[in-house]
Amino acid sequence: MENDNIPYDKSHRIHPLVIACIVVNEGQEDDMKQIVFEHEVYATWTTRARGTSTSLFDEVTGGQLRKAVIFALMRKDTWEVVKRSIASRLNISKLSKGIAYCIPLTGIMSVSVYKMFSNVRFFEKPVESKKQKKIKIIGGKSK
Amino acid sequence: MSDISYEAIFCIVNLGFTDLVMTAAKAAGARGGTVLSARGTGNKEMEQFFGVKITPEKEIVMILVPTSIRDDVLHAVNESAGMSTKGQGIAFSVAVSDTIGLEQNETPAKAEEATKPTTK
Repeated sequence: MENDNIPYDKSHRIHPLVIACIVVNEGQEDDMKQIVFEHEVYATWTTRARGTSTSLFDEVTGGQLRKAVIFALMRKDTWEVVKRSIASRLNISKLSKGIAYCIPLTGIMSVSVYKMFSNVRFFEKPVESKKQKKIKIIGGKSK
Repeated sequence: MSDISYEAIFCIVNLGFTDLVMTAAKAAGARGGTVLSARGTGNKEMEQFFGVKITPEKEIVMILVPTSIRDDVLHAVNESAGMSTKGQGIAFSVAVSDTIGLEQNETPAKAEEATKPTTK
């Protein structure tokens, strides 16, 4: 089985992945996750965070300091769609303000993990080996 | 979406030293940041020596800054909360794309100056 020794990223088309980071006020995270879920992105992690106050008023009252950070792993082309929905959600009111950005991934562990995050549910035919440097997959075999 | 390119600065410091980081970063032109709680995994010798589990508590400060002031912010953070200080901080920056929610009018004055075309 010669094919087993060909790295997956050399024999298949690789979709670039990004990790999206969305920082919103506490309480807004469920809506943001809902937006992300609607685009079939299920790899999300949420954590509590604290904002550093930008005004004396916030510092004294303690308002707007509790934040939630959502990390979502998705394909770059999915992010292009998701970001529009997030941008419109952030503009609804002053309370729903927040920031979002994405960080491109340069490597990932194992083919199965890559397939899970890139939402590859169908069999993808191997392509001709050509120079593509989008993301490096460490481990796993071509199947 | 903004036209200015941004970078995210991640600064990992000991618990309680985020104020030092933010003060330095703000002086260098940053606006605000987000603080996450974290736990260090190094220093195993300390744990074995005392026979009790000591968890080094850390905090991660995420600061989104325009690329033009990234170096200034990193220098400032290194001076006030670097490895030679009590904060024992390490900081690095990663390029981010497609930033949403940052208003153009709210960019720091320093960044605006840096992006201004120079006229002679």
